[in-house]
Amino acid sequence: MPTSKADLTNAISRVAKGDRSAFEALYAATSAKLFGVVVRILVRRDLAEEVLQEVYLRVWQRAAEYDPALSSPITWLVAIARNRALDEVKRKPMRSLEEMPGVLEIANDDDPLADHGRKEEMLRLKACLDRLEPEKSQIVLLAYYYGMTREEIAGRIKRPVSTVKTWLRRSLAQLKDCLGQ
Amino acid sequence: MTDDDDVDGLAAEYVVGSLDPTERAQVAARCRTDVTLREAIGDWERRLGTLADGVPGIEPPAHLYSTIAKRIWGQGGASIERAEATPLRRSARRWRGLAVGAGALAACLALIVVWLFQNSPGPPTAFVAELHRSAAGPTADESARAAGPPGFVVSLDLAAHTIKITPVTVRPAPRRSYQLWLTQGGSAAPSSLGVVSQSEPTTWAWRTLATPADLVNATLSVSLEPEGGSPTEMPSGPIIFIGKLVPATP
Repeated sequence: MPTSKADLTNAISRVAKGDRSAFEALYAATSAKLFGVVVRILVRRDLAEEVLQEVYLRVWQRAAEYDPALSSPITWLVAIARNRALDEVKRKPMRSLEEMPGVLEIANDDDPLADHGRKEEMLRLKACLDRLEPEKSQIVLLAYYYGMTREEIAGRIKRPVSTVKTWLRRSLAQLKDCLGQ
Repeated sequence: MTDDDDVDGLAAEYVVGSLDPTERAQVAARCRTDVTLREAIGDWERRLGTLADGVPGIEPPAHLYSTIAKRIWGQGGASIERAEATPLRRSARRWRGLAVGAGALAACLALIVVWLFQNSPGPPTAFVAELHRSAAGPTADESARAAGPPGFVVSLDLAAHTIKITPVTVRPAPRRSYQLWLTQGGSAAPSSLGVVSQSEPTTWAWRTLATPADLVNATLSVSLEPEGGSPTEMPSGPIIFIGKLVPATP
């Protein structure tokens, strides 16, 4: 099963040429990861399964667009999965937000798909998030992990929507400065 | 919100997921024409991408892969091997094995193809082409009439989104590449389908936007190129093989 960055990149380039076994291997290596990301946002398993199917249809169709010089394979795959899940959750906001855990932390499971360099990258991002005020890093994580809109976040943390927007923009700009890229 | 001056902030919010459905749709639409916005979104996807790393994986249900395979490759999704063992494929193999009588087999294939075309209802979803040495004549028709066995055979399966080109009587060209081109309609410019292996079948995903009607009588050609393919969007070397796509049934 391809799990290293080079393996995944190679699998995607073979998928771009219509290689079915490479597609199956890519699915085997990455579907649990993407399903985890999609389930977090959508909560409902039936919707998440539907979305995951569409994610891999897109992967099949768009593999030729993947540019290893621009992003790592897993970043590319996660972006496709999150985009599709976010579109879906915004279209049918049917989750009960109360069910979402109160305080979010950066998930910290040992990820089999993350190599050493990527883990360092994640630690840097975590360090930058930790430099924000707790309430502000929370709203970034609420949006990222659950796809909550400003309004949903505002309801949750009992602040005006305009405040949430300002905080989000400012926090994200600070993250960018901190990461220096 | 699409007139938001803070393009970077908008891109950041798009990626982080906090836009409402209307704004999200507006950003997605604006993305198609606004390169700055698109690049900013790409940058944010990279910046925040590792946040997803620690999200615990969840095994999707076991049946999901076969559902996806069916959606990509159709009901016959489980049987792509079967689809490949078409008369054409077998014929191609026989051609490769039999130097003598190859011309007769080629003629035979042409008849099979015509028969399949006449007997298939609805728009065709599969096409084949024999590519003959273009030295035999400047057009696909003249080449086919004049030549013996084809240099390459091509099968295109629109249902499976694959195109396969198999060398039959091709001489290897060391340090050069053969490149396959598609020309739709009479005057359109050829578009590259890719560099072809000189010794074994090459299969690509078929992503060209074309209706079956566009493809009937579309011309395929193989040019001789510097190693790795033409440096431009057009054939840079001579067209060596040429042929027309004709409908078939997989």
